[in-house]
Amino acid sequence: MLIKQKYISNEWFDRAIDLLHEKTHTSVQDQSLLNHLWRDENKLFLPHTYNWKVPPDLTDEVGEKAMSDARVVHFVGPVKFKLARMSENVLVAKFHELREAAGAPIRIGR
Amino acid sequence: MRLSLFSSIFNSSPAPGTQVEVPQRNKKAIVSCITDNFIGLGAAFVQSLIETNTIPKVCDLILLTCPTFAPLSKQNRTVLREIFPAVKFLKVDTSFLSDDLVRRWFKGQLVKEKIDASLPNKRSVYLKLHVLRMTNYGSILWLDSDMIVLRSIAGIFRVPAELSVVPVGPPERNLASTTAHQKDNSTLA
Repeated sequence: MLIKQKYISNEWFDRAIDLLHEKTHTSVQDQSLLNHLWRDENKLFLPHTYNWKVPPDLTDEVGEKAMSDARVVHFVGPVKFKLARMSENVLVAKFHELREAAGAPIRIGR
Repeated sequence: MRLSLFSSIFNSSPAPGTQVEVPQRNKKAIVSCITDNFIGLGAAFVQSLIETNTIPKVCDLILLTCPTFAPLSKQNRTVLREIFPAVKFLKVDTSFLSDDLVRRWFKGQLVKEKIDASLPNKRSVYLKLHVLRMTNYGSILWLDSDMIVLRSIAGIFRVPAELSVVPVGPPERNLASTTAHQKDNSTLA
């Protein structure tokens, strides 16, 4: 998500918080809150390569496709918990390569 | 409006030898949130920003923190500083995250006492809202820290739109950029 001046203001923040706290349709009080807040705003849709969501069934084929086509991959939901257990997949191998270069432990989740 | 935006992007170089103070509103930032329990993912994320040269020269990398909802230990901050010494940690005022958020309401009636967001770290997802009040920046790119960047996206800051998002759906769909005015739910990522 890229936002510029028009959407960076205390007014927009206050509107988001009002929405967060309202009690008539709290289904919007999750991560889709900004979707709802800006539902009628003009927006530029970026290609999926900027947020390539990795599916839970991360197969070798999916990993190779993501490595080939994606700019940014997103380990959404439960797939991130598989990272610690996998290593053969090229995408997972890339993750571990980055993590080890960063000198970080593998800790994922509580 | 588009023309003026492009003009401001490509014709903003000062004359040689001229010292120009950059207005605060021209500042750029990449903002995210890394917590202790996902330090492995977070460190890989920051490392990927570095390896792909995604952080422009004049751009802050800011990580939002909160001792209650998004804790990040000194040890893990050190790990992240070793990857990118200029990283900034910003403690967010999370007074807007009230206990009411764990309940669900319908037409003013309480319908659910608790959701899984009652776990404190689940509320870290709401820290994202803080970017809306980071008014000393003119452009903010929010990236989730469970992402890794495979190819640079530094050029995204030159996109002449005030709001740019990736639509919901699997990667195979909607590979082309489009502008739209819509009312359905898009994923703002």
